[in-house]
Amino acid sequence: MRKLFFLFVIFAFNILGISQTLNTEYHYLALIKNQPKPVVKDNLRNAEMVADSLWLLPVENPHLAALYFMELGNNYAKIKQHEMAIFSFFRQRFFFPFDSISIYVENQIREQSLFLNLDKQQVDILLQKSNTEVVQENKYNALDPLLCWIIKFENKRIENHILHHLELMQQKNITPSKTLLKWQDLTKIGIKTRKKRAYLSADFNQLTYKQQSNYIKHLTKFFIRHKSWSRAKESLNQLNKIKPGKKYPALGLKTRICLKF
Amino acid sequence: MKALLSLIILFFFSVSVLAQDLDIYAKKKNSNYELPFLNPQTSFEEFQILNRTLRMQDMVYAAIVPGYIHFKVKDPTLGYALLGARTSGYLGLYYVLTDNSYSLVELINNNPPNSANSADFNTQKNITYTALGLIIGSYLFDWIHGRHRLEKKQELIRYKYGMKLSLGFKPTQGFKQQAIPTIGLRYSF
Repeated sequence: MRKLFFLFVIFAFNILGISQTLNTEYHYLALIKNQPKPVVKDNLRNAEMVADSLWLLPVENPHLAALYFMELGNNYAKIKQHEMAIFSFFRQRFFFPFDSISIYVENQIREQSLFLNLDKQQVDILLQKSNTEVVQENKYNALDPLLCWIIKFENKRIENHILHHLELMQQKNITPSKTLLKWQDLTKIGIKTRKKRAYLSADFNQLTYKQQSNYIKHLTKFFIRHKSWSRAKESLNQLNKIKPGKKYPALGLKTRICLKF
Repeated sequence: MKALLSLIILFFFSVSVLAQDLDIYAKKKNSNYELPFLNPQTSFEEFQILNRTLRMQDMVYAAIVPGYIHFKVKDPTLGYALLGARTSGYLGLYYVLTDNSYSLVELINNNPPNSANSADFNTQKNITYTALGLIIGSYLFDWIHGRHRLEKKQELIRYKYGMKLSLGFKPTQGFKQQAIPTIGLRYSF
């Protein structure tokens, strides 16, 4: 009876040792890059979670982390998300610089930039800025310059990822530079990607009337979307200040604020 | 002997009823309390997809709610497209029935009455065929393609987490393994 009891205990309890590590994630990325696209696409959400943790938390094996970002870039390249591929390769160069990996990644960046019609000079400058001798040792400080360069690509599909990384910076109590904060505001209120350049390069007073009114209208729409009616009214009043005497500016927005919808 | 034979036959039929699984399937009352073993990276949507199976009763629901299967397998775009297709099918049938010039049987059988205007009859016949095609086609597509989508999505999730679990046991290849030793106990009977 006792024997039977022990046998029961042995069979009933399954001991499971699991070690899910960066090593696992790296090998999985390397394994699936030659497989059908749905398999690669399905893993990207998980891969980005690991990539975030590599920046947020201390990493014991930076060499493996560099290889991870390289493979992540290769995975994005496989499913033709060229902008994210470039972003991943640059994350490797900025966060975990290693000579041998950075040289391989440089070739990949040049190839991917062709698909995005990026200016060769711009890519060259960015590659110089991310050289292993130049780049900052501290990965926390390296994110700010990286994002500043990436926003210059003016690619809409990468905007959500940049916003996410800005949130990560704020989570880590790192204040982003003024350009990035301005870009964040412009993106959140919904200014078009191509038009942001003008807003970033000049002060509000230096902008043309059209640009100023466009900004105010987007800002008002942003407040309306968030049902902040008093703020929306305030921002719309600024339109009259820019060009007083103009009859019925943004009548549609005014109606929406009055009717609160 | 006869009684035994009857019992065996009865047992056989009872099994086939369960296999049909229309609405009669064994479900323990407390099975909702059983907590599954999940990979920490699993999203709620992935968890939902893994949990879902298509049963005969879903086939009935899909006949009533257009695009039901695609909504269930988290493919709402195609679900709304099927909803639109089925609705336009119903509208076509509604037009034919409210026009009341010809009966549905005449239109389906392509059997115009003697007094019928052939051009008008043909138009209504075409509308009927298209409407019926949309209704039946959208239903069959919803069921067959929905099932295919669910299986594909479940395969992807199972492959991903299964492979990662296997790779977790893989010996290191030149890298320092940063293993976190954990022990899990599973009690089953």
